[in-house]
Amino acid sequence: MSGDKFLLEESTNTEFLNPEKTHISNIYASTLTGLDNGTYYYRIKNNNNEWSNTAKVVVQHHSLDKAFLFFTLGCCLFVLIITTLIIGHTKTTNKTF
Amino acid sequence: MFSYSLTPQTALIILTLFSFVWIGFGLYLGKRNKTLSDSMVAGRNVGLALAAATAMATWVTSNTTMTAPQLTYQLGVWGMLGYSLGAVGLLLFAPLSIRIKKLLPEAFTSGDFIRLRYGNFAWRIFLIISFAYAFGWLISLGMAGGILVNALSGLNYQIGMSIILFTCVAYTLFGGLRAVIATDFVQTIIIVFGVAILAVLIMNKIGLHSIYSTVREERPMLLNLLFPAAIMFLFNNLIFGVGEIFHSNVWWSRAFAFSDGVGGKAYLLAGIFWIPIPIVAGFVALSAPTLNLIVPSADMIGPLVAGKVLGTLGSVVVFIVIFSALASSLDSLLAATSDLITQDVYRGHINKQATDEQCYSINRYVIILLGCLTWLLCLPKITTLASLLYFTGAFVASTIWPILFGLYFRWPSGQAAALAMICGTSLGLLAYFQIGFYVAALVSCATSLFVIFVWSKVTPENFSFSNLDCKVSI
Repeated sequence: MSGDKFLLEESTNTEFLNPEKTHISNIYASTLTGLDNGTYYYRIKNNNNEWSNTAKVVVQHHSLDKAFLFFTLGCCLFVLIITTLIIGHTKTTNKTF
Repeated sequence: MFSYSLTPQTALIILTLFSFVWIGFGLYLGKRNKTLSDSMVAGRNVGLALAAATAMATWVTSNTTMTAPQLTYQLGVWGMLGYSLGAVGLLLFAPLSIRIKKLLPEAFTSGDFIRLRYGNFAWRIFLIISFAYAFGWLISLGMAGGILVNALSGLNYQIGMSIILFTCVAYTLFGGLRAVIATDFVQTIIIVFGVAILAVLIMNKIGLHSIYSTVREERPMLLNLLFPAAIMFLFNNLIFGVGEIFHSNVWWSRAFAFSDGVGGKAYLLAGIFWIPIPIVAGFVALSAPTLNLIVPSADMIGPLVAGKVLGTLGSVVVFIVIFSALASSLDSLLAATSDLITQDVYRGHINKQATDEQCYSINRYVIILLGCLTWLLCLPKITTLASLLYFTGAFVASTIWPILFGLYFRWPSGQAAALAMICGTSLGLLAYFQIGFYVAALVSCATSLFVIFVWSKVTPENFSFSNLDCKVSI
């Protein structure tokens, strides 16, 4: 794209009939986060009203089962660390070593 | 339209001014350093106020002031709250520091403990892990300096990064750990007041309601408490923080440097005061959708939002706060890593008969070398701050159990500790690449626990802790 001012459009349909979001900027990259599962389309217009090709982005989050598996693993490890520390500290507090 | 909130000239003036202040401070404090012990462990007599301030300031890093907003922008409210769980590492290190000071009153580094407790093989594995982490952190700090300056003023990334690195190398070189701890005290005051001012200014400028309604509509996952990646991240960040603090010589060298009876209280206070910092810093990121802000890279979100909302004055405050946070960590890490190289690599492997005077001199060259190497590795901005930082999570989380069990129990063997660190790191890295940065530390820690437990059954040991209570020599 040529020019130094861009309009970035995001839509959930390829026709961009009702683009959900538009941004105007003069910088060349954008990081998008916090989107729900789904397919999103993006295009950019430059100073000369030329549209770019359309980029398709598919958002697919990890499953909740996998998420809770790691959550539980983390929780267990944390409890184990605390327990070990308490046992160790209590056992050695009044000893020389 | 996007415009920078500071001119490159203003950024350069602030950078130069602060550089002179910190270097001058380092020169002044360095005059009192006469021995290796003065330089590496500040004479082993640091009091409670300085001890708590240095622990807190070191833990408030570019990772807190810049990665916390990045993680909030990527993982939402869980990212913000999860990041604050990093305080758990400091809190848990409080009892550990008491034990460390009791077992190894004459030691210099965390490597000394691993070598005496587990033997040479585990020690070398531990050193590899420590250096991988130290370089990851050093690079992330250098990068953060460049990104900060670039996001606020448009000044070239390489220039900002180079000036900040040069400043920190200079005053660490001149002042040793004593200068690092003293500048940390000043930097803590700047960070706490600066963050409080920023929070009030942002709350006044953008209401909570408009932030909430825009994020709910445009970035719904950021407010979703069932955001899968964020759920995985919660405990991963906690474990990562615990791994960072338990193994790193940054924290061990402070445990040795603090006066008797000070370490436990200092780490406890530092952890409590640290908790709100990433929450306030992270909150800033949630206002990005309301501001319709284009974010080129997620790790630029903090300074970008602050600059957009607060204008020039706010940007100057942000600049000073983050520069202080960066400097307070960069200097600590430079000092601790150079100590580790001097004591564990030079005296441990290259010149076993080295005197304290020789080590004192080598230590200074090592600081310069570390600075140069970090500068070279920072030049190409290889990835975002969070991705780089959590990559090291796979390494450090594998050391938690060898250190924790090794400090309190007789049964873990050297073989088991070494194997636990190797297997933990390997599987942690696999998880990093196969699943994501938000599970690497979890997998590494779980694997390490399993291996050290099982292998210690195969090769049982009955270690005598009195072996640690000796003047450290190689």
